Amino acid sequence: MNQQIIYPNDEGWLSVITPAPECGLSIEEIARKDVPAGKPYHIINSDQLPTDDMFFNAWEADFSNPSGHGIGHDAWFAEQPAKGEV
Amino acid sequence: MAITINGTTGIAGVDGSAGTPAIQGSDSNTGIFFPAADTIAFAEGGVEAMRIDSSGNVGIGTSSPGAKLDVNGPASVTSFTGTTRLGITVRGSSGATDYSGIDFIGNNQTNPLARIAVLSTGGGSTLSFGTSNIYANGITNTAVSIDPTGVFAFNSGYGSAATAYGCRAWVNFNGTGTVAIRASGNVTSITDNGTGNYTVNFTTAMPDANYSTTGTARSSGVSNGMSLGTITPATSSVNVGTTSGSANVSLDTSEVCVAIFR
Repeated sequence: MNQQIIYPNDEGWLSVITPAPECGLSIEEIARKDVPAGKPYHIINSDQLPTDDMFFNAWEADFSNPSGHGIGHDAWFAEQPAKGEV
Repeated sequence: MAITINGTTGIAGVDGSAGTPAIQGSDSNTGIFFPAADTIAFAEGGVEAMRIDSSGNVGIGTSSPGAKLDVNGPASVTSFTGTTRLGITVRGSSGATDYSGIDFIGNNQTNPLARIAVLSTGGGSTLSFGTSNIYANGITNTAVSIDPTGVFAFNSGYGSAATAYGCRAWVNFNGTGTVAIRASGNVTSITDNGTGNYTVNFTTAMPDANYSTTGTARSSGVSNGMSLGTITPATSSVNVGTTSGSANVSLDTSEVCVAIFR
């Protein structure tokens, strides 16, 4: 089962993150990195998302007990001193 | 007192060992010994340092050479950078403008057909790879060079070697419904921010945000074409949007291809 990450964006609806299968990072690590700093997130199975995305901007979720909180790109890259830049 | 040996046999009859070589100087555990038929070995301090086996293969640091020259490099070299040398060193002559390197020559030929060479440039070095398009002239092309800062230049077959600029990230995904990534490089994920609005998140950050974002957007059900635009470039991600070609309305797209060049 494919998994996605959801978090509440600044526009007031959900953003949905799809991991790249070839990136080599776990979905938990992708969530820490690609969810903006301080935003709560859930890791969910793909079939938990509505199949019709016509009303994507109206999707809601309860983040009172999230899977975790993102640290954002800057903090994540700061943890990777050996990787540097491409 | 020097020993003079006459006749056709010379010194014979003792094979010796690494600990007690058959031919020694004043140091009894350093010299030449004969560990097997048609095999010559050299010992230092009672330990075999080099041998020539029955196939004519030379082993340095190995007693079972698998090629004409088989060198067992130093142990525990786990870092590519630094001053520790690996198994083989090719030393140039004294001048800083002299190349040091390796030539490749065909059987029974005299001119080099290909070359890997290093030139000292200031405090660093430039590594070059050369090929030949006319055997009589030897090396005729600098095919690839890497300068002291790591800048990579190559000759695509037209003119001289020029700096190569790499695609630093790329992704091909279906942006309709739940995003599905078909293939990617240096991308951890795609964030679906809403209709026709995606963030491509990089695995390794860009050196700055002044890169070039190129790509295409296509949906089989949209007859008037799609366009891809960059909304927000950043070092760690790029936000792109897909729109319907004529109406300029944001629209999810079934085939989005994004590539980042810098």
